[in-house]
Amino acid sequence: MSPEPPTDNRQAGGIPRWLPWLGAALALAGLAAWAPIYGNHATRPHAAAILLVNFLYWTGLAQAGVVWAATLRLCRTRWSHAPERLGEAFVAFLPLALIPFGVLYLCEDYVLPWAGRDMGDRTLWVNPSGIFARNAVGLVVMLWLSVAYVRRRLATNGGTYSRNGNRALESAPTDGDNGDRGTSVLAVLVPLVYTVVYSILAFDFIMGLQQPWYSTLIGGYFFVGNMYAGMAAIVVLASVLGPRLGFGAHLQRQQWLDIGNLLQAFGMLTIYMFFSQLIPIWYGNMPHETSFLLARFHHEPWRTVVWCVIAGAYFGPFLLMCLTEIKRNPVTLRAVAALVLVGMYVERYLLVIPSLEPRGSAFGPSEVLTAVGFGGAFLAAFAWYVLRYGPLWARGEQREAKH
Amino acid sequence: MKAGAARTITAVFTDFGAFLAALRSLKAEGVKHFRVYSPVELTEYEDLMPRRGSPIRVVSLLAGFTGCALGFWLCIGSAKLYNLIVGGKPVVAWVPYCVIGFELTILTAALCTVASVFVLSRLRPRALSPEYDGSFSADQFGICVPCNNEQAGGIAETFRSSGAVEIRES
Repeated sequence: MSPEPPTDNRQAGGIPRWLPWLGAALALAGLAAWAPIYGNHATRPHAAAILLVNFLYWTGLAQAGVVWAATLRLCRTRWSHAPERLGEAFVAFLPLALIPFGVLYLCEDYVLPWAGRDMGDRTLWVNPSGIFARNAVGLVVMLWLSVAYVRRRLATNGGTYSRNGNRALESAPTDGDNGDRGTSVLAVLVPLVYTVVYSILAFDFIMGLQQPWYSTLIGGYFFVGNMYAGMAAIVVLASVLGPRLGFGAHLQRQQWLDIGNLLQAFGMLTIYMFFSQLIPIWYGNMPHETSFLLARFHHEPWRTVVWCVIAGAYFGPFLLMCLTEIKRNPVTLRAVAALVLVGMYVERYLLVIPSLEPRGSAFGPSEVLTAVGFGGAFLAAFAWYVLRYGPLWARGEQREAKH
Repeated sequence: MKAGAARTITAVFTDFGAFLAALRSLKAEGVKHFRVYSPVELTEYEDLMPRRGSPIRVVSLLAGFTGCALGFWLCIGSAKLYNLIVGGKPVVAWVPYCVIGFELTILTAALCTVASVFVLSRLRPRALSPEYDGSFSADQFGICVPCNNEQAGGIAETFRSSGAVEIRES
C-alpha cells in the first residue's frame, strides 16, 4: 500500500542553495585537471579516451534516470514517488552532455583510431562523420523526448510550465486527467527510443573502437548497465536528500525494500547480459570476436580490473542485497549503491580504454578529478532542477492522492 | 518452549481484549518464550508474538551452495573422466560450467525449499502439550509461559491484572 502523501504543500527543494555552486566548482576542478592532459600533444589521445569514458558513463546514468521515471509511470506504481521525481531531475544534465560529445567530435582521430583506414564495403556505415552525425541526431532526439516528458509531468503536477519557475507555482493547477494520455505516450516513447539510441551509441563508441570486433549484444548490455547505474544513483540521492526533499513519508522500509529489489534485479540482468555476451564468444573462439576479450581477460593490468568489476559491480552487490535488512535500511543500501556506481564506472573504463590503450593507461589524480568534474556537473544540474521545480512535487502528490 | 524451565504458567482468557493486553504486557516485560492458543486465526496478535526467523531460508541457502558445487563437480568430473574434444580450450573451464552450476543451484535450492516446507509445516499428527485445554479450540484463549520459580509470581500477577479468568501452574 502506498503511504499517505504529505497533506501540507510544504516546500520541496529543501536542499542547500549552495549545492549547484559546489557542483559547478567540482566541474571546473575536473576541467582544470583534464585540460593540461589534452593540451599536451603526447597525452591528447589519453585525454580523449578519458573524456569518452566519462561521457558514456554520466550521459548513460542521467538518461537512465529519466527512463526509470517513465518506466515507473508506465507501470502506474503508487509507491515510487521518490525515484520517479529524482529520475526526472536527471534530465537537467542531458543538455550539458552534448558539450563533451562536441569535444569528442574534435578528437575523432584519437577516439576512432581506425579513422582514415579503408573500411571496404562498410564505409557507408563505418565512417567518423557518419558516426558522429547519427549519434548527435540520436542524442538530440533523446534529449527532446526526455525534456518533453518531464515538461508534461511538471505541467500535470500543479501548474503551467514556463521558463520562469516562479510562474509555474502561481498558475492554476491543471486537471489531473489532462495530459495523462500525452504523458503515457511519451512514457512509452522514452524507453523505446532510449534502447535504440543507446544501442547505436554502444555499437559506435564501444564496439567500434576496436575494428573489427562484432557483438550483437553490446548495445543491450550497455543500456541495461546504464539502468543499473541509474537506479544506484537514484538510491544514493534518495537516501541523502530524500527527507530534505519531502519524500520522508514515501521512503519507509517497505519502499526501500522495493527500490533495493529493483536495483538487485537490474544487477542480475546486467550479470546476465555480461555472461550472455561472454559465453558465445568463448565457445565460438573466432579471432574477430575474441580479440576484445583477450585484451581484457588475458593481459595485465586489465585482467585484475575485470575481476574487480565482477566482484565489485556484479556479484558483490548482488550477494549483499540478498539480505533483506540491507535493502530495508537506506544507509546500507546507499553503501551498496555507491559500490555499484564506482564499479560501473570502472566497468565503462574497462570497455573503452583497453581498445584505445591496450598496454595500460595512466589512472592518477587527473583522471579521478576528471570523473569528479563530470560528477560535479551532474550534481550542479540536478540541484538546479530540484531548487527550481522541486516545489511542484508536493502539489503533484496531493493531486494524485485525490484521483 | 524454553529448556530448563521449572514451571509453566497457563492463563485462560475469555475476552480477546484481555488476551491482547496480556500479550502486550509480556512483550513490554521482555518475555520471549511463550505459547499462544487461539480458537481462530487472528492477525491482531501476530505482531505481539515473539519473532522467529524461518529455518527454510537456511535450507535454501545451503541447498543452493550444494547445488552449485554439484554442478561444477559434475562438469569437472566428466571432463577429466572422458577425453572430450575441447578445440584448444582448457579441459576444465569455468565459463561453460557456470551454466550447469547455475541451473543446479536453482534446481537444488527449489527442491530442498519445497521439501523443507513440507517437513517444517508440522503436518503430521503430534501429541498435544500437557497445558492444552479443549476450550482453547472452542471459545477461550490461552497463554503458556515457561518460567522459573522467581519469575512465576510476576507472570501470574501480569495475567491476573490483564483479566485472565483462570491461571494454572504446572
